[in-house]
Amino acid sequence: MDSKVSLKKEWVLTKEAFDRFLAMLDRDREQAGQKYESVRIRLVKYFKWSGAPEPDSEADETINRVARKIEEGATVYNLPAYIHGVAKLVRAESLKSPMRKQQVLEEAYGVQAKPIDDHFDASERRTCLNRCLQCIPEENREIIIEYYQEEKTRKIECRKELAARLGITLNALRINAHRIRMSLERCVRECLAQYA
Amino acid sequence: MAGKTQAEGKLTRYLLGTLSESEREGIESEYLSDEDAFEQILIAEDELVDAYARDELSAKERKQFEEKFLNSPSGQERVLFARTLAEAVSDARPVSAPAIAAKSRSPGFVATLWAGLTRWRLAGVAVAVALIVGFLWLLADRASMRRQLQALRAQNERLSQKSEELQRSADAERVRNTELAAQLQTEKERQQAIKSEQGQKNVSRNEYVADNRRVQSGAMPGVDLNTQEFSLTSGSTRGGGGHALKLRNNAKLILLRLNLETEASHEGYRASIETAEGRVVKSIDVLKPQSNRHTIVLPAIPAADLQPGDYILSLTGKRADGSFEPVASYSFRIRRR
Repeated sequence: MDSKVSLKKEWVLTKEAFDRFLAMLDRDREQAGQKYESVRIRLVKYFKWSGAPEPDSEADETINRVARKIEEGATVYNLPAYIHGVAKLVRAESLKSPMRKQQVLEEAYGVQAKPIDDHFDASERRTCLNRCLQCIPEENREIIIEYYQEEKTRKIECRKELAARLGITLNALRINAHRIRMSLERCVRECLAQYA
Repeated sequence: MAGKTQAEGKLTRYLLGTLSESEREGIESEYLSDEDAFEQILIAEDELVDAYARDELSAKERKQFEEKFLNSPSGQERVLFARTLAEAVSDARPVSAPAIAAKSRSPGFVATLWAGLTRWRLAGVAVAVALIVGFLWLLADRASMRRQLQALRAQNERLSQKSEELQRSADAERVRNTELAAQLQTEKERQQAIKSEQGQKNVSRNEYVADNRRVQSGAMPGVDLNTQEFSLTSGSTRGGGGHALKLRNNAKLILLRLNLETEASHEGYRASIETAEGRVVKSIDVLKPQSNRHTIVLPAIPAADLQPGDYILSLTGKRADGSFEPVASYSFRIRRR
């Protein structure tokens, strides 16, 4: 088993294999590129939520194995399901890794989670957030402020009212607020990088 | 995590790792193949992170969250962002909580946002005030600069006038210098001619005196043997018996002494000698007399320039502005013996 894993990891993704993988995602090269990014992001999250020690590496390993199988001539009818299957295998392997074993032991013995280590001053974060809020369209700024304004039970009611005023469904409002929040998080990360 | 739908609760449990194997695989299969399903779970993650940051999770959920999310830098970063966002939103909230509740019961969208954005509006007002103050300062500064410019222009005008006056003065001085130089040159020529004549002729002083006494019209004794000097009085005309100046054959230079009826008061003088036909024979510039202010002595005139005949000498005086005005007129006749 160990030798098998070792052999798999020695295989290097070739250009031809990657091109075949992209072609499986979409015939249009540009569309295929976007879908590849989407698949990779989902895999990273998959491994992160699964508690895998290195989500990025494991996502790449999953894609490499799928590409290799396609290059070797495997018949794939449902690519997402195939990717999911390979991902489960990689996760199973990663959960056996020494790093993961250490994590499991720490959890079992009630070792405290790492304290939040903030390299930046709270005022720096706040300054960055204020700047980023100024950078987004005014309409989005108003939505994000009202969306996150209330707490607990009041929050749901207020969001329903906000959605009604905007003339959209609650789910559409949640998606909209999420996308605005993602852009703000990215903006704040880039802003803080200047302080680092 | 109260107030969630069943589906949202399931997603939260998936994120906290408390679902059964089959439930978990169902969710994973869904979001790995469907973008919308993936977005829904991302939204659930946002909510979970926010609930942790706002301390809304139960103790059990909190522990599960910390085990799952705080072990990675990206998870910690998300919690820090959620805290900062919660603070920012809280600061943007109206001060009075009951007021918010009342407002939210019958809210207007614009009014609610207006209250939520007080800070932004205050910042806007501050910027506007700063702009107005800056604008007023610019206006005041501009007015001050305009006054300074006017003062500089006036000063420049005064300097220009002074410069022009100095220029005029310098021009007058230059003319005066030119006249002096001309007079000096004439005098040098006369002295040169005298020396030259002295070398050639040897006429005794007595002979000169005797000869001079024979001259009509009050001829004056000269300074050397070849110079004849005459004194002219103004008003003599050709018809009225002008001065008859009898020149000796050996006379080389003529000195004319012009008597003035009034005291010389001009800056300088110009003597113009014309023939009876009106042809200008000689024009001589002279300075203001220094000692005898009733007499002007012209520089020596070569006798060869005045052939026998009738002449009119017009004396003009120089005004302060540089122009000339008539002063006196003398007529005389040159004869050779």
